[in-house]
Amino acid sequence: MWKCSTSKNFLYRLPLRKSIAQMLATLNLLKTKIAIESERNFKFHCVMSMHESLDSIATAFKIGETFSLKRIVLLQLPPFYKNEERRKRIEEAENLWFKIVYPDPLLREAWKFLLEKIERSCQKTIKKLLNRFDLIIAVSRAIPSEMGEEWFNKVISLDPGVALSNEDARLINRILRRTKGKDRIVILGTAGPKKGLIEGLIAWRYILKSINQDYKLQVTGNIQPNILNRLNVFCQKLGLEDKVLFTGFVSREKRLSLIAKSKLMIYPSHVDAFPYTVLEALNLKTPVVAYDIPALRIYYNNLDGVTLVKESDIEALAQKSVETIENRHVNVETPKIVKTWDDIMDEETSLIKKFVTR
Amino acid sequence: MTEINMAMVAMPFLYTGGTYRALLSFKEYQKRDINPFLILPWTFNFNAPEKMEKDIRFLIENGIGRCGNVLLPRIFYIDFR
Repeated sequence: MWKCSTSKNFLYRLPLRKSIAQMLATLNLLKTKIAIESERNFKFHCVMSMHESLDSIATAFKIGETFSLKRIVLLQLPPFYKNEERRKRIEEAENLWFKIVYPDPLLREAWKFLLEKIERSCQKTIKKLLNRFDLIIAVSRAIPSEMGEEWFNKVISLDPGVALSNEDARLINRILRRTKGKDRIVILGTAGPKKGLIEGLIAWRYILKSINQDYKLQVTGNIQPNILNRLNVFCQKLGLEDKVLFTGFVSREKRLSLIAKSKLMIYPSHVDAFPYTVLEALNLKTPVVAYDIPALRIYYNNLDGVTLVKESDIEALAQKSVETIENRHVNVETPKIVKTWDDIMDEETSLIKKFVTR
Repeated sequence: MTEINMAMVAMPFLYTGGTYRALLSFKEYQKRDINPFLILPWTFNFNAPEKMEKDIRFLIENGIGRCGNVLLPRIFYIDFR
């Protein structure tokens, strides 16, 4: 049943391939082929996109249109931002990323120009397509608030639509029982341009000036080899070559164990709806220092163990991190989210059922 | 209508918070009378063949049957035969 064509390969080494294809394919959705297995040839009642990315939304839209199905989308992140200040901050984070990943200024400007054009076009298309969906669900009320007032009545927020799954809750309890104290580790909660990876590394240089030199910053998550090389060069320039460890993708258990052993999680993300990583950290009794963005402010502000600093203020991020690391008695409060994962799933599926059967 | 057949466009993997939630939703919907049938969006095809094979193995191990996928126009592909 599962086949992976080896003779026909997408040009997976071509830079910007995803962005270019996103734009071109969406410009002409009709030429995009959708293959559905013949043995599953029965009636669908609806189509749902589980992501806010253009490829997912456009695919769901096309399936809905072709088979006359009701269209549903679940937004897990804001697909666009109304607030200009927020857009500016995200753009700055991307520019910083470009500076490190493309050191050649000419090439960098060319990529930036192209990417900006593509992104603008993609966002326009997403807005257009979203307006033609029948039901828009968001996993957090931060999402419509970031999208702008005109979406408040169109989007149904689960508020929040994320909680620890039963499986993860069990795993976290097991890890907590076997973890004895914290090591000299700080974990960077994210890896990616809009997730503030570069800002996290810069903050780490400031932090190391004030704390014990034995500390190591660990970054989990997949990073493409060519980008990892650039990041390593950047770390060398900052004098952090043996102070940062990029672990690559690690299993959930290993990642959660690492968070449990860490003194602190630095979370300089610019884009989020309801950060699951922060929820994991707090449940593992690891304090978090993060940017004050709507998703963090709505769900985690005023909790013991969470410190929010002004978005893009790297110095404040470093300063608060130092204070947290040096504080021997940091109290970490687990968020009081009344909904369980089962409650959320009941709410989500009943929304879908009501909508499909009406 | 007791059961709903849903075409679910998703990337249900462990890579990010979003893909992980899609994976959890896929499993939970099945318990609540919604039959999700996975359709992988076209960015799935943008990865190296080894990664695609690894991801497909992951889906099989998690009991997720793929129902379909999306192919971009031929211009995006090269035939190495």
